[in-house]
Amino acid sequence: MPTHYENPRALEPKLGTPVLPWWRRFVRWAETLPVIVGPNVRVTRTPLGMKVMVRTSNPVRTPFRVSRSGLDLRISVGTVDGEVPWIALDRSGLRGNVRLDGDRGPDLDPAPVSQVAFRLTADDAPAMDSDGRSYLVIAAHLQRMRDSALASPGLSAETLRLEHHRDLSPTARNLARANSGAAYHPLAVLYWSPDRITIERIGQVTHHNLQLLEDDEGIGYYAAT
Amino acid sequence: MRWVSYWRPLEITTDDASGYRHPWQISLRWAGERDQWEAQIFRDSYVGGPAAREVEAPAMPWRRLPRVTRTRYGDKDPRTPVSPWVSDEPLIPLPAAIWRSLGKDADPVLAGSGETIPQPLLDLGAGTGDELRVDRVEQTFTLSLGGSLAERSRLRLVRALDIVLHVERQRVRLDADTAGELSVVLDLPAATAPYVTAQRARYDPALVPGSILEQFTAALDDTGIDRRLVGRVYLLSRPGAPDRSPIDGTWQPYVDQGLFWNPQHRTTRELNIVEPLRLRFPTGLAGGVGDSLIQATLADINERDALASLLVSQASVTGQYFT
Repeated sequence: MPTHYENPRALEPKLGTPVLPWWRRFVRWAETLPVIVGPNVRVTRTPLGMKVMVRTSNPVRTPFRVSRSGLDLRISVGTVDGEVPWIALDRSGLRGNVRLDGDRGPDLDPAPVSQVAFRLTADDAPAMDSDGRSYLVIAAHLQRMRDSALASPGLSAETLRLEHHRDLSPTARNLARANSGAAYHPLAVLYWSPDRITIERIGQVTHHNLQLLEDDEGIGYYAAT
Repeated sequence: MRWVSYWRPLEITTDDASGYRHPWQISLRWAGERDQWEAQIFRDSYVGGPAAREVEAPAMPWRRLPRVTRTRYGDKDPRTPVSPWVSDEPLIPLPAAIWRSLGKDADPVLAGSGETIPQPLLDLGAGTGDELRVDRVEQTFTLSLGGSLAERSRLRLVRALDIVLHVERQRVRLDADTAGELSVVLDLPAATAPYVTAQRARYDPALVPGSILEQFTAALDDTGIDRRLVGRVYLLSRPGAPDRSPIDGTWQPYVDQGLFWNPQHRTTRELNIVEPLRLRFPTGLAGGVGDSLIQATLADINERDALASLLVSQASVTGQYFT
């Protein structure tokens, strides 16, 4: 424990106070201040003194944050119109679908979130003549949504899901949209290695939850407020 | 005594645990080897929308390009400057020539143009300079001095520049010839990808036109480029630096961030043409005596009518950023 506390008011220098003695008193006073260990503060005491490690901020939780391990993409939970989108548990779709928060529907047990991953294969790599980018997008299949509105209101694995697209150029996008009546929004850009075998880095595009709005000019995604 | 040393702070470190940086976050570094400041924009920066569009940084020579960009070009030097993507995290050069002076040693006439120094920089010791204000109505000049000599000698110099995002889009304009024919001219954008520039001129957001006349003026002034401020970068000298001191590594950078998310960009096209009347008059009256006079008058009327149609017609492509 500190030997004594000095009144900080008594430390206040006045005009004409000699600087060096005041500075020594000030340092002596500062050394007596206790460190109160709270969240994000770690204190290591040694015979020579004390080390204080302060973590300045809590980790920021970003919706739809994409991280990778090999060709497995893990996506943090985010929402579109308050609904959590779905992904297929494997590429063949045999193992069924799962929501990003692990929910698999009313009849099944939830999957551990650690196992919820979007699994890519080398077949998903972009063409060699492109810039080496592909996209993880969120797709709202509006036509299916309208068709299923009477049967089961709300969004489902078929209507709101994450998809991987090798090309988002306007031509390909417009064709895909015309064919499937879907609205896309990129979550992340995947930059592949020059040999198109591994993903080198990920560019995060979306940093917030989304809202789906339809106006005269079509359907778009907006930041949820 | 043992207890005192037990509590003595030996080392205090802070650690930004999250490591989170938002899109378009600007960081600055002094490149001593090149004698200039350089800016870097955080790599997760795109112009969103249906396709995540890569944003191009200013073109730079091959040896200054990030490794990622060189790999994308197949490690072959094209012998011309290349524009890297912002997602490649290039270092954007900010040479001394593109910094504008604010405050103490700013040009008095330019200082009167209305750009003020932000309060946080004033608190750090920057000061306002002399200002020359011109009142055109009263025809007077007012020179206001920025403080006493003693105060001015302790002030810090300020330099600033703006980093601006540009998206080029189609631009339509109406042309009217003397015969009253209106034609719509479509200008295609020169640059297909969005790009950022570091510019000396202060960025001012475009005004939203209200009246018809303002809309007409805005349509005439339309350059087909939608701009948005990414951030305004300031440099502060040491206190008491002499006027017009060159910029070096001792200056302190501050960024006034203007964009915190990936914006989406949308283009809206409007075409609403009001046809001109194109008046005609039967010729041959009074033995054709008045024909030339009437035709000349009609041509004049038709020309004015065409211009009036142009004024009330709307052919515009407007761009808009949204989240």
